[in-house]
Amino acid sequence: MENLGELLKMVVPVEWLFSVMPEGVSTHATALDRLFWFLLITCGILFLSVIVPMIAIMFRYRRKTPNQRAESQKDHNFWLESAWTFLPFVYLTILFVWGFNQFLDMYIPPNDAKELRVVGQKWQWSIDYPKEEISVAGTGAEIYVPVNTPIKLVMSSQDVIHSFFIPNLRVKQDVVPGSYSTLWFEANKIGTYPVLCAEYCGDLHSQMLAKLVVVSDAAYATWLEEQKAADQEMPLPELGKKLYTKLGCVACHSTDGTIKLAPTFKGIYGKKEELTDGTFVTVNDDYIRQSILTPQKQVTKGYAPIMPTFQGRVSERDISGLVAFIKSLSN
Amino acid sequence: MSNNSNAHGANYLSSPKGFWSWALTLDHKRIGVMYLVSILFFFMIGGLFAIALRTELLTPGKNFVDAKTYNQFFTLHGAIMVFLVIIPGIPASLGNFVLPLQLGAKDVAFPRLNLMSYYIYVIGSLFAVCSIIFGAIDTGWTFYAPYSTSAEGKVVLMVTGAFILGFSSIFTGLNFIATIHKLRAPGMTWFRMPLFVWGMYATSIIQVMATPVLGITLALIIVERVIGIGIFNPALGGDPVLFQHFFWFYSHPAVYIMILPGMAIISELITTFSQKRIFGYRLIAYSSIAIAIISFLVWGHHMFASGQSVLVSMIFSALTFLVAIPSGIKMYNWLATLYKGSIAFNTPMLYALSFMFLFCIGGLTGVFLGVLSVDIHLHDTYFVVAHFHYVMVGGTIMAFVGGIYYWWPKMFGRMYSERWGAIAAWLVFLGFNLTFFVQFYMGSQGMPRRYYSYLEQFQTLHQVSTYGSYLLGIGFFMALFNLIHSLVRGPKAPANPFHATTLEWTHTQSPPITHNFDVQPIYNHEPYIYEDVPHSIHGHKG
Repeated sequence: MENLGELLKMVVPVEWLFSVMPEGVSTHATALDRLFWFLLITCGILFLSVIVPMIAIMFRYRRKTPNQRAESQKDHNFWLESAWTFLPFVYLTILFVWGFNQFLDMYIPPNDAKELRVVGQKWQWSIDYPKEEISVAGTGAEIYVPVNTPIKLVMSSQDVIHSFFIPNLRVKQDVVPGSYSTLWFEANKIGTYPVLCAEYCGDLHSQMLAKLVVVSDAAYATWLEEQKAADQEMPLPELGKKLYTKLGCVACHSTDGTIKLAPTFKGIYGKKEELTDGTFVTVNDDYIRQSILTPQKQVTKGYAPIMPTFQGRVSERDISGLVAFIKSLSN
Repeated sequence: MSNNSNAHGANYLSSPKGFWSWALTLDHKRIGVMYLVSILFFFMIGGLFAIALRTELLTPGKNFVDAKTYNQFFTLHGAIMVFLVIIPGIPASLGNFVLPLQLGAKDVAFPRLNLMSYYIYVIGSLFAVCSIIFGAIDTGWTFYAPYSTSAEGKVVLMVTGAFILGFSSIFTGLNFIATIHKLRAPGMTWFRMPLFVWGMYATSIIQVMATPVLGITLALIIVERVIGIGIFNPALGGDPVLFQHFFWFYSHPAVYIMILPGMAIISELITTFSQKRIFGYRLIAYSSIAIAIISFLVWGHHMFASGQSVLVSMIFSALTFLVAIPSGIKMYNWLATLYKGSIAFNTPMLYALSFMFLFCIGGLTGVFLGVLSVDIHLHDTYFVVAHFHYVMVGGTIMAFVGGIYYWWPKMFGRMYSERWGAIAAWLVFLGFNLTFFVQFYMGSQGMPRRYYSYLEQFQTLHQVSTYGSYLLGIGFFMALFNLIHSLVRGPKAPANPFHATTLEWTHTQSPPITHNFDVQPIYNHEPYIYEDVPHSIHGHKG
């Protein structure tokens, strides 16, 4: 029998039927999935209420002989027409009230929510933990949060509109330049869940990913300690290497000579580069430092001025780390 | 002109002859045909972009183009399909051809304006084509600021194109409103008009009232990009959400500019091919007008996740549910029309039945998106992509193709092959569902739209969708080939092959004479009366 079950699973994607939504791991998700299933079932019934009669009628009243006439020319029925004008009101009102109540819950964060600041920029998320004075950033950044704790995100964008989306939590909020938007959630299951950008933002829109890591309170405390300690002890080139992925440099600068959207780091240290205005510059510690802090000042010829500034987001030690890392790629 | 001389030759296609007689024609039928050819051409271009982007999505990584090119593909697919195909689609081609005939009129109210609207359409489309050649844009068809005000590519060219196309749309709408008010045949009261005319009337109201706002919005984008005045870009002091309000204030009513003509065609097809009076004529007519009015008040439902105020979102959610009701009414009325009819499965009817099936899914999934909390999860995912393709392709395009088949014998005087017509219709139906049904699942799983690469778990579903799109493409080509083939080989069409009851079938030959009718038709009855007509339906089993 077990084999039969396996076989059935291969033919009919049974698990799909019961997992139309991804695993829900937040307080929102539990409530929302109930409404989603209500919609799925009632809309399914409504669909069948049209399609089953339609197919039956198509079969029963198909024209069998060329001269067959319609059996009736009746063209109105007051009660029927009233029914399908006013009954939908009732159904849709239920949906409206239910959905709006949930929306309010999703919109208003509890007062004791722990606040994180999120900055969206092409094409990465940076998350600051203001109280703990640490931050994570970059493609694939791991955002640690404690389980069963309400978290409030205050978000803004540096360039265009992005949208912070965590399918497993059923939350999404546009991140708009020029204003703050907020989003809150309470994750209730330990695990790692994808964070996506849901508002189209250019070339690497689909790479603008991060991970939400939901951990126990104890594991969260340990992680905080590690974060604070790690950067202080790490040797400079290693720190630079870590920042290279963390800050998202990796999205545009390769380390193996391939050309992405910006010059490769391989062999760049000490090289003479032509700039967009025709002048030349030697890539040294100063130039790298300047490129990190005021990237639009001297742009290498052939590349678009798309690099964001990291002013205020990197410490002096971080810059030295990056310089050391880039230097190490030219030896 | 006597009836005999017409039957033996002269019709609007054959006289007068020559290139200029077409290029400078004021005949609504010729203008309709020119629109039809142009729109089908752009439908093919837009379709090629769709096939290209679906092919890229066969694998999560790079398949044959890079991310930038992929972004250009989906932008051009959307922009062409929306601005050059679906918005002008049915009104400008079939509407132009059929509307005056159904009213018993000689032409539209302003024939010169009609020709001008065609040339404005051509100029607008040239701008769009130039922008593709000189620097394809990658902003998405929605041109969201501040991305669109800072992106590379010839955004200004494309936006100017869309701006110009808006005028073509406004002129067509004005023309139809004036025509319907002033040129109805003697005796044709408002409630004796065919439902296609009601649909065109509702569409025209939206075209005239909403399109100027699109013009203003697009003009503001151009001003911001060219002169650098801050309107939408926060870097210049503007507000990006303001753009979304402006944009959707037009583009949501525009959705109904796209679907109302489709519904209008379906009303004609369902009654004709079941040889039964339409059920609830007045309710269908009123529901078209209701849709036209409410459609202006729901734009904010595109912005539930944008950070607009809760109060605003609440109001838009409620109004969105309200606009669902008239569409539901139409569905049930069509169903009741079929009941006890004499249903023939000619090709146009196959598309009408496809419409009912697909639009039902498209409409009901719209209810999901109207629910505030559920929309937060589904917004900007493939669920939305699937939903609007079910409405726009499953709805409007099915109706459009059904309408083209239906009026083809009238337009060109030839019968198409029912057998090939049916095969193509089935391919389109299957291909469409294969392409888009899986996208509902991907969307609720959290697959965002406009993604060049995706999580590996989605690969199988993306492949199903891509292969489905190939099937859909083959189906459309087969449908087109059948029609073109009929021009050469198809048997001559009688005046009223489907035994329809409206004036374009009962009072003029196929194809009609240049002035439509030999004598002014008098119309003193309801539009759909089947008691007295013979019921055998001609068809060509080729």
